[in-house]
Amino acid sequence: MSQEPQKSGADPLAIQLDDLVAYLDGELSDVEADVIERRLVTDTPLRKQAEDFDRTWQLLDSLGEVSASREFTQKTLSSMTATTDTDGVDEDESGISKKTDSLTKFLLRQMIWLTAGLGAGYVGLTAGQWNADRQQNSVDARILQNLDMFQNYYQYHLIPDTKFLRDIKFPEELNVPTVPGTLTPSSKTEQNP
Amino acid sequence: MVSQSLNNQYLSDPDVQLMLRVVNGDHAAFEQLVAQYQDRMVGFFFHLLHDRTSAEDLAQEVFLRVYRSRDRYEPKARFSTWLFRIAHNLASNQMRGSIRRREIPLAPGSDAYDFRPQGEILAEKSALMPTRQLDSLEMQDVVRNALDELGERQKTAVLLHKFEGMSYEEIGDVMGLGTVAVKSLLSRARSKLRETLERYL
Repeated sequence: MSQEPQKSGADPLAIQLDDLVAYLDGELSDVEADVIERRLVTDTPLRKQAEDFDRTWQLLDSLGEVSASREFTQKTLSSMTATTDTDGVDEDESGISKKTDSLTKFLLRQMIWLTAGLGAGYVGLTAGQWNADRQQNSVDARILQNLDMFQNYYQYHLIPDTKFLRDIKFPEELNVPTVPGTLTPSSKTEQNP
Repeated sequence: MVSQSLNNQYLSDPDVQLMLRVVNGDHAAFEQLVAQYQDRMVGFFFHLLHDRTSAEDLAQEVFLRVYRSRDRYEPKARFSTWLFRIAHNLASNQMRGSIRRREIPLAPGSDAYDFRPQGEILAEKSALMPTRQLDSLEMQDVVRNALDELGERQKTAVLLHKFEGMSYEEIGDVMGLGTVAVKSLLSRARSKLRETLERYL
């Protein structure tokens, strides 16, 4: 008991310290207080500890009393009056308005989800339509670009390959310019003496 | 609500009676309660926060909460216990907030810059004036610093016990603790205070 209090809560000395403080605070039963008082008579270090606790407690008196400012009451009562007006509305409608509020919020949430769903569906449909149109337009453009070829498709179909075209002999009097890599009548002669 | 609690033991508390008048729309009763508790409320917050403006703001907030919740009021405790429970909740929130918002002090050389253990600072202060007794303001500063060394719950328990004269049970009601926990809390708080203030005993 006379030793310094141990930090562990399970220590019996620490429990005695709790009791000593509770005794000083007047929180023990008569029987418990009597036990402490008898110990204090015989145990000088314990008595010293109790006196130290008591003096420490008295030092707290030096903190002094704190008073509210002069205008505190007035300020508080004015704030109270200000809240009374707002409270009035809440009080009158408190039960109903809370229910209405939650119903409104529920409906609002449902509306938002519905609108979002419809919006998403519309966007999806529009995007699909736009994509199909784009593909169609692309086919049309390619057809227009190659219209000449399509128009003469059956004639082109009769030509077996490009070599055939290169080998076509033009009469010399037409003076057709030679394309590099094609055989002119003279070059043919040179190649086949 | 009032008729349900006719056998309520707390109805003998005159402040509970005042509060019941507030419930019935008696503004004068509320004014009386404010006048009666304002110093204690401001003092409680001031000792916790060391800031008069915050202390008054929070005390005012306590009274406003009391007034706003008057329709739901039931005398389940002494009026002072109920009032300090509200104050304790507010103070806890405020202190948690102030820890998050801790600012860098502007005044160099102030104690706020000194991150050494409080005992060391106090010892140094004492060494500067060994031959004379500390005057009351200096002593106030020393004790305040020692009190600040305590944890938030220990400090609250000490203030409620020392300045409000609350029993362990009432402190437990205010702080949401059992009597044994309060006993242990106050024991540790007083040990810590004795340790910090040893040289002034």
